[in-house]
Amino acid sequence: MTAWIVRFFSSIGLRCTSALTRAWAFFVFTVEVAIALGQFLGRQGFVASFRVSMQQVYFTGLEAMPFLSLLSLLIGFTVIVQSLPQLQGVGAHALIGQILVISIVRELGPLITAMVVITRSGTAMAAQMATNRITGEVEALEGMGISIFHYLVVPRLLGCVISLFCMIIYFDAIALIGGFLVASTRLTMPFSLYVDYIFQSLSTLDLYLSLTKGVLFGVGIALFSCYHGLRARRAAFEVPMVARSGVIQSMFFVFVSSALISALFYWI
Amino acid sequence: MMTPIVELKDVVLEVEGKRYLDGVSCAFRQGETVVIGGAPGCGKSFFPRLLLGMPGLQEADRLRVWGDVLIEGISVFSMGREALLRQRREMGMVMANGGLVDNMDVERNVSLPLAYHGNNGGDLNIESRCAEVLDAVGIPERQRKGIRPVSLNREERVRVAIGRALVTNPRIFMVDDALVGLDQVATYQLVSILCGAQTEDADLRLFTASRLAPFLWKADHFFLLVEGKLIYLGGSEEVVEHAHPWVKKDREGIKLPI
Repeated sequence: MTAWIVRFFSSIGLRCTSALTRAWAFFVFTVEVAIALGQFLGRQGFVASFRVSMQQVYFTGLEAMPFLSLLSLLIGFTVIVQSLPQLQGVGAHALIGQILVISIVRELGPLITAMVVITRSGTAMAAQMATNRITGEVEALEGMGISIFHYLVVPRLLGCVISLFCMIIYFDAIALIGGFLVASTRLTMPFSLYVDYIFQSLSTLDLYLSLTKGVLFGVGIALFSCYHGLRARRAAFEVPMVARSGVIQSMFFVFVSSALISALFYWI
Repeated sequence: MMTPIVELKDVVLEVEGKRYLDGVSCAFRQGETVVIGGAPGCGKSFFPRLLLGMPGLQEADRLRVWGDVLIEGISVFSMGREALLRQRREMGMVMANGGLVDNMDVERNVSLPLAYHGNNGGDLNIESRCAEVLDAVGIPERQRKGIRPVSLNREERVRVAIGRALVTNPRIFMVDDALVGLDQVATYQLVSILCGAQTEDADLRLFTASRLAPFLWKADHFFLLVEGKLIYLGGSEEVVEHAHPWVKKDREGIKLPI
């Protein structure tokens, strides 16, 4: 019995120690990235690193546009299709703007865009980093005197943040157009009135909230993906493992931080 | 007496409890060409990596090092990250697997160190320097633009990796067993490039190899790493007559692990 209790508590202790070690390693990684970010502009190799950033913007942002367009149009469409019967029932058509702003601009826009980025680019980033590590590219880059934080991680982080920021604005705009398509066919609502309702409900704080989430999610997704990708060591079987860890932790971060920011917003 | 370019002082290196270097001490001087031989897996690859300050090292590798590695009298282990990165810019290393960046074509791979570090205010043209180096290593023009390393065979990848290491005119030029698996003609051609005009200005040329024979009459000093101990074999004349069984087998062209 005593041995079982000792084993039980030692296993808890080991798990805690291991979790703390991992958390500390991630913290150290984040600090290194922050330092490299601070030196990004002034450091030698800026042009080469900037090129990597632009490639990341192209891959994360531009290449995702067709898919994001369809998704945002359908989301805007669905939100209005679901809420319109309720609004018509109580004669509160004017609330259409408020519903769209609250559901799409504040919550769904940043969340769904982040999910698109995690599934498309987060996995790709983690897998690419892991492959770079396994094939010896990371070692070769460091051996040439190239800082991997400056050349591999920070450009991806910047690319991810810029892309998410722009994608959220694009998502919100297209989703609102999707909402208008329903509103104009079901309520024969003129475009000017629809825009009026939206702008009456939309405050600067809504935009701040949405775009702050975008920046935060971009940082989180890039950090978790790169961190887990670079954790790979030697074997190819580690690639899907680290990619999975990156995706899970990115998703967890996105949902928790989104909930916290929204809660903070209502509390304020 | 002049300070050695590189000095290893009583270096002990263990990975996951296995000892690869056991009290290794040696010094390499200005203008020398040194070959460290040994069976695959004996730990000879740690020599160039130690000089570079173990790039790509992770905590999970569980690597432990004792002793000291000095480059022009300065300890590699006492250097901060930035100083180490600066130091590495003056070195060129060809890794056993090439270490080429797969999503860049041949030309971008070779120009990467110059594109990243710049010319230090010099008037060197990156494109013409790349072309010069790729000509020297024997990569034809049709294989430079738009051709990625995955489309190249092993020999071509090694040639590109040598080009990338040479492009910055490194002061310390190192090759880590990159010629393994190549045919005899390619091996001798590449050894001529490695010990030829492109590297003659280097302060030190350090090669690790699973075979010493291709380097005979090209290198100044030969060493053998056996069970963590570094044995000095001498110059080419001594290696040709050396009685060590591994060296004898190597001379006969038979690869046998120790």
